[in-house]
Amino acid sequence: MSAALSPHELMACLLADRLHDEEILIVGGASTVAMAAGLLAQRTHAPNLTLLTGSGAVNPRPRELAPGGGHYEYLRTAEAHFTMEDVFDDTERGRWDVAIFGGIQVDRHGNFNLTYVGGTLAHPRFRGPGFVNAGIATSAGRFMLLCEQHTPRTLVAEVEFASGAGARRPDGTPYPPGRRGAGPDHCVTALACLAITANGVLEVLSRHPGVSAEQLRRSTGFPLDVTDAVPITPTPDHEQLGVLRELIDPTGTLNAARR
Amino acid sequence: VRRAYLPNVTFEHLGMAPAFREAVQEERIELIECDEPSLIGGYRAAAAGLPAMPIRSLDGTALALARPDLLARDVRGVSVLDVPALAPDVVLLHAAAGDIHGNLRQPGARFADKLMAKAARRAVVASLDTVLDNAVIREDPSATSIPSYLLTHVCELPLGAHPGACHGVHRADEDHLRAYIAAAPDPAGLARYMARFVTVAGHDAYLERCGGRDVLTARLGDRG
Repeated sequence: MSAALSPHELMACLLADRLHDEEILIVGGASTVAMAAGLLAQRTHAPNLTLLTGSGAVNPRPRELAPGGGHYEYLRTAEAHFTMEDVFDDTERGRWDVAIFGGIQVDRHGNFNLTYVGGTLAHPRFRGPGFVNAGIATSAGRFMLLCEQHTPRTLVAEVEFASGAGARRPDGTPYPPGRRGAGPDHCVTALACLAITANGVLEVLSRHPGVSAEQLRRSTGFPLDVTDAVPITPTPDHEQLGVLRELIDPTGTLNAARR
Repeated sequence: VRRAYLPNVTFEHLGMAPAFREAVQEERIELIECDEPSLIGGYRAAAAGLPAMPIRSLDGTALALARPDLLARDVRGVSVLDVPALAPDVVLLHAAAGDIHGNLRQPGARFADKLMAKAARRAVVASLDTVLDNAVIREDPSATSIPSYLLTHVCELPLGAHPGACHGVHRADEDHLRAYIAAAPDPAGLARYMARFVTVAGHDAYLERCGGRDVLTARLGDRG
């Protein structure tokens, strides 16, 4: 365990810390960090967490952290498979407790944008990959945000299009009543841990080791109330990092220095 | 293609889809904004011969505002959006194996394949990596993912999912996909790719351009 902790390993551990035993977690296709977080939580403090992958695997036990959630390794090693019809039912019913989302933009209210940047919806300057499943953001019990890049372009004051609904609309007005899920709670980035306050705004809980308050302010597209008095993010202990490296990611998908 | 319903187009961990982005940005295709519930709901309605499927999960979201055709109504005190039935004329599927009648086996993800087959108006065509005897299908009917009566045509197409993966047969050809992603942002690069790999004389010619069936099978594994 000599290689230095990588940003992806740290983010996986921080997300895992925020998952609870007995929860049902859905992770999408693009992020091995979110997948690792679910697998790690199951092997540590949350053995009864149910992990669902976007391609339809229930509780996979991959031999290694295969890149891409659609990899057969997750389906081959699962307990069961589910289909898009199950996704429809579970989304509409709100069966899932927690989801992990990223986006090309995330804003101060936890809205995330996967649709476009610049121009308009009909005439986009930059077209993003698309919604995937926006309904989960409103019907899942809660969701967490993962920003593998933390820059003024990715953490913005207002997303241009709220593909997934945060705590409030981008302009700060409330979403209509009747939403079943609680919306976003935590946001883990490459530089810091943030959380949604009672006012529906992201605030910094801790900055990662080596990140100054000034760097954090400069890297964020909205004003952050952060000084060097903000605590440093605790790094994973020997046991948690050992489980991550030995059982979840033996081939170093999350850490180039270990490949 | 003039109009498309696409919840998401990416190469997952390899990156975004350059030609898709360009086509939308240059307005060469009309994109109907949707997510999974608003797409699957449309297939569900069509599969059951219903005019629409009510959904709740998008109420109040930016997507609901971008789709005025999702009609809001009140059903027994619950506010819902009606997703209109979405019935494709033709559905194209690929399966790891199947028989000549169209009984399919898909050992990995089944996504919405069966639902799309049920929603189709006219033709449902499946390409197969391996053709099995009907007697083999009968040995394990629980392994059949889609029964033959939902299909209209099948054809044998080894490595037919390439450069994507076919779960249970082979994994994705990431070298090929990376080369495509690198070439496609440049119109000349995309044209070269199309000429080399798409506008070729059939599937065998395509596989030869990719190094040949045996080489691909050896490189991409025997299960995926």
